[in-house]
Amino acid sequence: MAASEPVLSPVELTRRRRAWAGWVRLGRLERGGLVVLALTTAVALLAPLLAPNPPTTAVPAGSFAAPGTHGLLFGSDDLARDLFSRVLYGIRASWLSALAVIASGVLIGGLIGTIAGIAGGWIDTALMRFTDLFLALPAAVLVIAVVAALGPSLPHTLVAVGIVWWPWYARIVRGEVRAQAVRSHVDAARLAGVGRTRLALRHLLPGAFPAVLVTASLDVGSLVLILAGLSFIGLGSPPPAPELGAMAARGMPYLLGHPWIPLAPAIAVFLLAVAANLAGDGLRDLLEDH
Amino acid sequence: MPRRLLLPVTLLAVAVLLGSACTSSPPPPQGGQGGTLQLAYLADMAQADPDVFYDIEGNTVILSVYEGLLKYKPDSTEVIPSLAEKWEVSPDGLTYTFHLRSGVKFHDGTPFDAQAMKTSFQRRLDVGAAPAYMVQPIASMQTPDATTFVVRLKHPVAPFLHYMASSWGPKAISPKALADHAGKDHAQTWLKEHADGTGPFQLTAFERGQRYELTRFDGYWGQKAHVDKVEIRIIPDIGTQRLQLQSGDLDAILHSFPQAELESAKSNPDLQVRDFSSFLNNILYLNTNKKPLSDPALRKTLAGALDRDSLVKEVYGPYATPSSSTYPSGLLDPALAPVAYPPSETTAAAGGGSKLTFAYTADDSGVHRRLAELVQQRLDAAGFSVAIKEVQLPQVFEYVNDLQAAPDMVMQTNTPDGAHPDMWARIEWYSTGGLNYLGYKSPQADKLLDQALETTDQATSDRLYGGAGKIVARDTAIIFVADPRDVMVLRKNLTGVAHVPNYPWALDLAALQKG
Amino acid sequence: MRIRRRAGGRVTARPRVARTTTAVLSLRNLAVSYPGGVQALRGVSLEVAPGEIVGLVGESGAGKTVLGLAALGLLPPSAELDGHVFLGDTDMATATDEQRRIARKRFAGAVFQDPMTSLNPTMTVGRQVAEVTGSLAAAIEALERAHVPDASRRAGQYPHELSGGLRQRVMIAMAVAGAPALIVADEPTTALDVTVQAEILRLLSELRDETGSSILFVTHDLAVAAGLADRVAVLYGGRLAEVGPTTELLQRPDHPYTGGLVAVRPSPDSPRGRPLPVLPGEPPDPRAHVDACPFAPRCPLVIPACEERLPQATAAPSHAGLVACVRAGEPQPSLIRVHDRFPDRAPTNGRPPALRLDDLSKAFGSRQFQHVAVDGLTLEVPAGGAVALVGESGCGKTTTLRMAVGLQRPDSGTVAIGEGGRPQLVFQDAGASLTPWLSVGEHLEERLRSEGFTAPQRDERAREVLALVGLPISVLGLRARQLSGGQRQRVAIARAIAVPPALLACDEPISSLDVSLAGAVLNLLCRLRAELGMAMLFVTHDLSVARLVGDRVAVMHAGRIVEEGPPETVLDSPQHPQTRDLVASIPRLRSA
Repeated sequence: MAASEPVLSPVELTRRRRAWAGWVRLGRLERGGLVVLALTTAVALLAPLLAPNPPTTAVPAGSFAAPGTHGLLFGSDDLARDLFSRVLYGIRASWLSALAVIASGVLIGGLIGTIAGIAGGWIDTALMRFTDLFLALPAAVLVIAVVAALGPSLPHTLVAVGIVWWPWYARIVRGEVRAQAVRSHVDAARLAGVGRTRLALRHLLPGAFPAVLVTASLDVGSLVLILAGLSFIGLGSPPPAPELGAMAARGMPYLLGHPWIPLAPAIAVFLLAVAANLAGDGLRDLLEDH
Repeated sequence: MPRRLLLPVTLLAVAVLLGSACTSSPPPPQGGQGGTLQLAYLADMAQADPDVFYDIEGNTVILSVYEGLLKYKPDSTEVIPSLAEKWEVSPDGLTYTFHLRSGVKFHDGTPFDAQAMKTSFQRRLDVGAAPAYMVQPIASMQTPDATTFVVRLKHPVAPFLHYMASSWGPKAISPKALADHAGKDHAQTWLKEHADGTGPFQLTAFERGQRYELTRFDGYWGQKAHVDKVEIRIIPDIGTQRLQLQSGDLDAILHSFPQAELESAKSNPDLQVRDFSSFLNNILYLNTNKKPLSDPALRKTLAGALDRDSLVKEVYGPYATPSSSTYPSGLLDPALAPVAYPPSETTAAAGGGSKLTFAYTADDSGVHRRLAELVQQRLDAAGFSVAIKEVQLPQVFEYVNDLQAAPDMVMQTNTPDGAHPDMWARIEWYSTGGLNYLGYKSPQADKLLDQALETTDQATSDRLYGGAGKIVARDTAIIFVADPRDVMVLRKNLTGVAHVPNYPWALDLAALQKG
Repeated sequence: MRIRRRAGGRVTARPRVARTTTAVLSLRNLAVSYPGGVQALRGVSLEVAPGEIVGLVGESGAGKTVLGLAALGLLPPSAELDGHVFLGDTDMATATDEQRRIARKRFAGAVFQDPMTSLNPTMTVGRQVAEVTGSLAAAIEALERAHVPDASRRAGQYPHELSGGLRQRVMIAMAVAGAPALIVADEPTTALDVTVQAEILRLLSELRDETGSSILFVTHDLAVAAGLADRVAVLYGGRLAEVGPTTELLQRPDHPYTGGLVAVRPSPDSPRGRPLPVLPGEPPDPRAHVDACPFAPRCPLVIPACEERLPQATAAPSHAGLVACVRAGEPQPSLIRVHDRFPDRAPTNGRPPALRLDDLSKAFGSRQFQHVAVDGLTLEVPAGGAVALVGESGCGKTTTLRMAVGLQRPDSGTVAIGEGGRPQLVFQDAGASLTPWLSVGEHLEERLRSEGFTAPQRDERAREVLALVGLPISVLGLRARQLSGGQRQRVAIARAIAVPPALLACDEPISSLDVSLAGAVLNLLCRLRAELGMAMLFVTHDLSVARLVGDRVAVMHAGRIVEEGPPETVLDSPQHPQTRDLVASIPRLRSA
């Protein structure tokens, strides 16, 4: 029989159209979130280049310079430091810290969840109960305890937060792996002769990716807030390090006289969290397509 | 889900904190006489027993309820009569004869006499707590008649009269109360939360952690108080106190008003900002017992890098002067023990990268923190590497037990027990001094102080104290930063404001009038 | 034309009558599009007269479901409508939500494909019907009218306690309870077994006779529409290709697509050993419509005029209906290539059987609620032979297949595989059997690598295999979602035969494909089998397909084989009552 050449489906030709369709489908708010997400990451990475002054040295204009004067966009704080530069560095610290915690959570949790999801049986039970143990830990108390034991510094705080963060990812990945495991493409791959490890890595794990990505993107917002809260109560880099939460806490006494000192970092935290959440929504909407 | 709750719980906590700021307001005062004075403490005073009490927060209560033999004149260091009308000191400095006032009654009605005073002195010796050092040099006490009280000392004590006038000096406690509630501990349990003295107010309520209440004692021998009551609430957050002051729920904030907001308070038509001379002293202690500050040259470099004078100006503004002596101004002629820390031309490598830990005690006005951070900023610029941390006072007292583990620098604001140089030097840099936090030892200075204590001639004594101070200054072991004024913010309608430099954070409550 | 309001109240029973002029449903030039450039319908005009059954036939992407939803006013808010949809006297295209709701309540009832999702699992069946009828008594009455046996007992049961057919009857009961003027039934029998399907179709016809409701019956199966409808409307690429009275339209189709549909459907008369007729190409993508006849790329009668503009509906030359084709009425070339035959099969004498199942048993569930899927099944597939396994849903066919290829272990009995490569399985849902994030090339490579091919060998064999199944090399880089349904199925087959297996098991491989594609895939399977000498175990519910594919047909019921033999014997003179039921239920295209 002459092979009737099926015309390559027009679907393939419009791949770009599909990506555009995905973008078009997003509401304005989610689009804004993704844009801000991109901008924030850029700012976080380029802060040392963007900041007009170093974040801890005194500027000639002196303390309490009002925003917009002496070439200082946000004015200066009570130690004559450029608030705009400090906020930029603070964004960098918050953003990169949040990403670091999430990355560690995804790696550790992902590993445990994958093993549990694939192995099943008692390994699964044991690992999941182990995960539950960490879930049951009171996060705030644990962080305080760890930091008290190790001393206040940003890496110590991140380690402590990382300890309580990975269990969520373990659960998600395990759930997704198990969901994938019952789908027929896994059977088909098994029939095709794919070995167990390859089956797990190529045919099960990538299915968990969208869920993990969405959770991670939403987590960025939560983490920014939590890290800011922790540095607000003194668990973070010790002064004079620029950290948004610590800056807001230090600036509180000046709220009535020189409000920009605590408000600038506080608003920065708020915007970061909002951007991260909107971007997370946007990513989820985009991924729902698949 | 613990972490998802963190944010709402935090928000809830903030809401609760804000809500606590809006407690019920007291009834409005009448103009002139009467009314209730509303005051606040940042912390509980722990106890009202005058023979045990050794804090500063609580002075207002002790000084309103109890009286000693002598007291200080407002705005001066002059010792004036209180329960003793006049006194004589023997030339050898060993015998003090006090002629007591008559017609004085305790709150419970018991008459005050020499025997009562002797009982109180004896009790202080028996209790043996921190302020007991003031009566320890006493060899014997006599009461030849009801209004004569004679004290014989083991050796001359130059500041003895100041002991009597000190806010922590021996007070007259009702012998009846001491007998009735003696228990096994000389009535300490009862006196913790009750009082029976001769002062213009009675302690009518002591709710630990909540509030204290003073009520005018109409049987007072002197000028009776103008207000009917004084209510002192425990409000641990200075921001809350400030809001209450603004709304009229508080009549005065006697200390730790946020430095940053003094300007706006000044322009507030409802408030008056008053500052008084005091013996407060802001001090930076250096740990000479370990590297790197065991090196005197480095200490001098550090002192020079501070640019201390501009530091003081920046943080305190008009409310402090840079210290010119190792003694708070007014205590001793500054020329006898001068200090100066002129800014030196420090290069960025002067500090040699030395790592320093710097602990400062938390203070609600924000001054300590700002000072600490500025010090850090300047020292970092001079090549040091400073890590700062905020600590609580009890921690600071622990440092002397392990000096190697203690920080390299400690900042604190202190005040002498009385208006006499001995009552400063002995606690600050005497080798066993209670406020010698980082264990500075100079046997030479110690010897000078011991000598000075027993010298009866004022001029010689002063010179000796000066000598001891000079040693400390030369060693740069303690950097005397500033002499802050005692700053208080009161409602505009408060009059009769009387302050004693040596009674910090306190006003004469009996003299105050509302409206 | 003004639609006059119907008088309110119940329509009295009356027999089948000819069309009147007051239409129950009237579509005027309806166009529906979705964001992202999807044009679901492009100018469709259609009327449904009172008491009429109109069969709306179309393949995936034709827009038939959208038309049904538009009639009910149930399109999502993101849909853009052009033209008019009159349900009764309400224009559902422009009415408010409230007006649409009232119109639906008064005029329409609906039956959808999957009753499990349409019924509330937390409410008893009786209560749900009572929501429409008003009282439980009326609900039981409605259930009885829908021929639900033991209606009062069933009314107290929950949806999951009923079989698929019963659930659909409940849906129908709810749909007719309000005596609607129009019932929209969207593929109501597609998920049902053939025998149940026949009953449901009968029921719908009876109800129309009793109540006079019109039915718009949406389906992809021309034969099903043929058995039930008065008129058939054929949709293609969002346009109406042809509409007309059923018998005449099927006997003398004027549109080449209709003709093609009629020709390609496997029927009991299709000759064995010959390839089925196929329509070349694939149905168009609703995102890529152009202003030309949508059928042009596949049409055997195409001329330049077809690609210049959309053909308009004109009176059909051969029947009392409409057709949208510029060459309507011209003789359509036969799609059957008379001289085409499958190549002869490789000799298989003396080889051990490709598959032998001996007394196989498998049960699922706990000791208490055990469900015996396979119960002592014995079956043999000779080397190079093909056995078609037929039976109703739940009889254990899929479990048998899975045990045959080794995906499941039997509780007892043996599975023996003959010489050749590892047995392979072609799944029912080809798309789901491909890992979504891997490309076609990666799938093939995996299969070949596990069989020990080196890199250059893999490359070469991949190209060979793609050519074998009729796919261009360019699909190597594509992922499953970028392929059409037919292409996915071919990829799955390519992967399976990359190393010719001893046994190729197929689980309803064409049931999810459009009719116009199914034939091509069937042909492919038969040809491959002949060329590669593989044995096949082919599960299907369609007896016509079983006849075409299998050397032998095995009928399965309740976990065991109840009848087996050559197709002629089993299908033409069935012995077992089960087989007889199956045979009787086949919907046929050309009969009264």
